[in-house]
Formats: sequence, structure tokens, C-alpha cells
Amino acid sequence: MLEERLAPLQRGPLRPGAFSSRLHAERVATVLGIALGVTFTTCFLTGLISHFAQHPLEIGFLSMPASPAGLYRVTQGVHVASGIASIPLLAAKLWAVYPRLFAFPPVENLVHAFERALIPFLTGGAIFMLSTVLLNTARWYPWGFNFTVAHYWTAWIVIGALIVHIGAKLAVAGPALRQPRGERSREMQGDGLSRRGLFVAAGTAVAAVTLTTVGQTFRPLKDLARLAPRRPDAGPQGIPVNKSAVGAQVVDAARDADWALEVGGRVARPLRLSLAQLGELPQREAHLPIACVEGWSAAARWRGVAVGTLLEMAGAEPGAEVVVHSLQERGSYRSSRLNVAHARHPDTLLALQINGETLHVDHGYPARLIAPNRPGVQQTKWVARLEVV
Amino acid sequence: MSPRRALGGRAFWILGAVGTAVIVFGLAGLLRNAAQTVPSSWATFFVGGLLVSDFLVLPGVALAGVVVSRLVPRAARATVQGALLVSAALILIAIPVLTGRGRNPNNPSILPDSDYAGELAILLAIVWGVTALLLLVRARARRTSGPRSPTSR
Repeated sequence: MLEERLAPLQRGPLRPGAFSSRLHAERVATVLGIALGVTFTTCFLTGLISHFAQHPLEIGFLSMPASPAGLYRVTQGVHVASGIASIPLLAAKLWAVYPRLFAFPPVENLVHAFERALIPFLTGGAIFMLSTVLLNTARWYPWGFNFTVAHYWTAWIVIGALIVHIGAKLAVAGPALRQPRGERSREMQGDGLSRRGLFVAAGTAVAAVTLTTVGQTFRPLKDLARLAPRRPDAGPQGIPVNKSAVGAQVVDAARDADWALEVGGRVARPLRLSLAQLGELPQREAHLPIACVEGWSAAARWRGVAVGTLLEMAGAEPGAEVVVHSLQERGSYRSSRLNVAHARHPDTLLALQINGETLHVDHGYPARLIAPNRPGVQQTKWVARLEVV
Repeated sequence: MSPRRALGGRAFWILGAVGTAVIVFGLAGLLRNAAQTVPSSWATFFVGGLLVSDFLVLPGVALAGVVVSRLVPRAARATVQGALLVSAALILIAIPVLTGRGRNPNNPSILPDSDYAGELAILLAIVWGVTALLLLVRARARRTSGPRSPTSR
């Protein structure tokens, strides 16, 4: 027998019974696995919303709507919160299934080999996603890749591995969950955490990490957000900043007295408007959030000229899209595109004021874009030119 | 650990095929965008995360379990383990803000708190304060219900 010939190799963690904790149990793995399945699927779907808001598919009905105005704030807040909640769940889950890493014999047959070969994509991918994103929200980049691009493609790997894993576990998880309480496999004796104890502790850990971070986007809990990399009221004029004017190297250009907004491209009458001329146009006020992809958000009262007003003055066609160009000369977010819904929404403003004050240069002085239901990186600051396309 | 049930069946193969296709799609995307995803750096962090978790962190948890079982009285063990889990979760999510690596002199709205270590210390004090309270209440309950009834709860 092969197994007998291999028996001498079963040493250390490969020994039967090497793992004594009673938390290495099927039911623990199943319950935590389902919780993670929910949080990861939530992360994936809300992540896709954010991705396609920034990289629209050329399919009209899938383009980002302009209302409800706070939708993206919610989906992205949920995205980051469910990622953070996954951290203690994943830690507990990895502990529950740790002995399987040392299963002996390592591979039983081809089917088992297939399932095991794909497990590193799931565990490695999950660890990769949660650890790198946590560093990203705190702006710590110890790696050489572009975080956003790697995050997006690795998400597909993780979700693919999750689909494989669900296929492999359906036969186990279903019966394990349907068992009535009395018929569940008797828990091993022990004086450490019980299964239920672990669920209580993991639930408490999820609550703890959520409550100490979610206030960065959910304002009622802002005073509890002790471990969040952002506070929704910390920043110039009480609003956080993603990229400062110094960081974007636009300080001089933004403060240039000769600054003027250009409206060009496919228009009947190209415009060039100074800051004073913009201030004399009809002003509109909108209460809109800045919602960052990194999970913080803050609402403010913005005041400025509706982009729709400028498009009409310039004689742009009603179905036109608009590319908003910043004064920035470098950076991946120096321009953004307004789809038709956003371009014509009355609350899409070229804002000159925030909460009754002239925009701070870090908020995009002399003029910035602010539109409903849109990722913060697309709310272009230090606007130089609207290009109708 | 219950014996592993046999794998296979229709759902296994259908989801296995779909999932594998999605993994391949992701890997292909990474490689097609190699200029941005820098596969060598990506792989270092991907494999590195696995190795750190499997051969450093998880053995560390096992070791912590041994220490707890040696040092903590039987009656308090489970509660202490639970408190350790909650503490570990808080410490884990605090690491990036604690290092302060992301601080940027021209953007003080990033990591606005000047003392994340202090905030974490307060949170851990709350966790262990509640834990101590729980243990005290339980110990009292045990004493009043008599020392000879271990199944009183």
C-alpha cells in the first residue's frame, strides 16, 4: 500500500492529530466560509460598479446614472467596509482550515489535485487583496505595481477561485448547515473557545473593526472612526483632500490671475471665460458628496455654474459628452469624462465655492467639477477646459 | 476534523470550469497589463502573503494557543482567546496607519490623527476591560451557585 510506504513521512504537522484545537472543524469552516462568501461577493460587485464608473463600457444602459446622487457613496462605502469586515473573518477561517494545508497524503486523486491546486489562488488572492488594499487606503505603497490595475485583475482571480471553491464545497456545506441542532456532530471536548465562542468572538471582531473605521464615510459614527485613515471633517474647509495642489504641481497655474475657462471641441461658439465672468453667470447650489474610491466620503454645499448652462451657451448638441481637463500636467486623473446623463444634470456644477467660501486651492480653486453619483477621482479639480466630444 | 467527502458531481465540474475560466481571465488581464501590474512585484506580494500567513502567522497563533493554555486558568481560557482574536483584528487593521508611512506633508487630511498608537491603546484597554469584567461576573456567578456545579451555565 502506498499509504503505508509514505507513513514514515508523516511527521510534525503531517502527523494525524497534530492540530488539537477543536476549532479546526467542518462547521466552523462552513459558517465562516459563507460569511466570507457574502462579504467577498459584495466587494466584487460594488468593485465592478466603481470600475465601470471609471472605465465605462461602450454599452449605453450600463453607464453610470446621475441619480440617486449618493449611490456611489453608498456602494463604495459598502465596498470598503465589507473588505475590512472580511479581515477578521478570513483570519478565523484560515485558522479553521489550517490543518488541511498538511493533509496527508497531499493529493488523493486527480479531482482532489484539481481542487487543491486552485486553493492558493483563493487564499493567496484573498490575503493579497485585503492586505494591499488596507495599505492603499493608508497611502502606503511598498510595491512596484500600479495598485488600481493589480487590484482589479486580482479580484477576478479571487472571484474565479471562489466559484471553484463553492463548487467543491456545495456537497459538504449544504448538509452541514441543514443539520438540526441536536444532530450536529458533537463538538470535541476542550476548555478553549468553542465553536459558538469563536463565532461570537469573530462577530465581535467584525463589529470592532467596522465601528472604528466606518465613520470615515458614515458620518454619524465619525467620532468612533479612531483607526480610519481619514476623518470626514479633517481637511481644508472641513473636507478631506485626495490630492493637494502642491502634490498635483498646480499651485502657480491655479493662482494665475489670467486663468480662464475654455469651452471647446464640438461646439458652435467656443467660450473663454475669466473667473469674474463665471461669477456673473447664473449660479446654482447643490448639496453633494465627494466619495473617494478609498472609502471616505464627505458632503458639502457647492455653488457655481451648471455645466449644462455652459454647454448651452457654447451651443453643444444635447447628446454630447464632455471631457473635463485639469490644469494638471501629470497624473492619471488629470481629466475625466462626463456621460450624457452627468453632463446635462442640473446639479453637475463647475463649482467656485464650498460651504459659502471660495474654494481652497486644495479643493480645486479656481473651479472644480462636482457632479452627483460619481467617484471622487472623477470630480476633476483646477479645471482648465471643457472639451465637448 | 471530519473525513473528507468525495469530490465530484455535476455542480463541482460546472463551477470548476467556470471558476477556472474566470481565474484565467484574471491572470491574462494581469499579464496583458504587465507594464502596470509588474508581474514580478505582484507575484512577490501574492506568494509572500501566502508564505507569511501559512508559515509565520498561523504557527504564531498555534504558539499563542499553547501559551494561553499554560498561563491562563481553565475557566478563563475561552474568554481570553476571544479577547485575543478581537485585539489581533484591531491591531491588524491599525498597522498601516500606525506606521504613518502614508503621511504626506502637503496633505494633512491623510492620517489626520497624530497619535494612532494612543487610539489603539485605548481600544485595546476597552477590549481587555470588558474581558476582565466578563470574567469577574462569571467567577461570581460560579461562586454563588456553588463550587460543585460546573454545569450551572
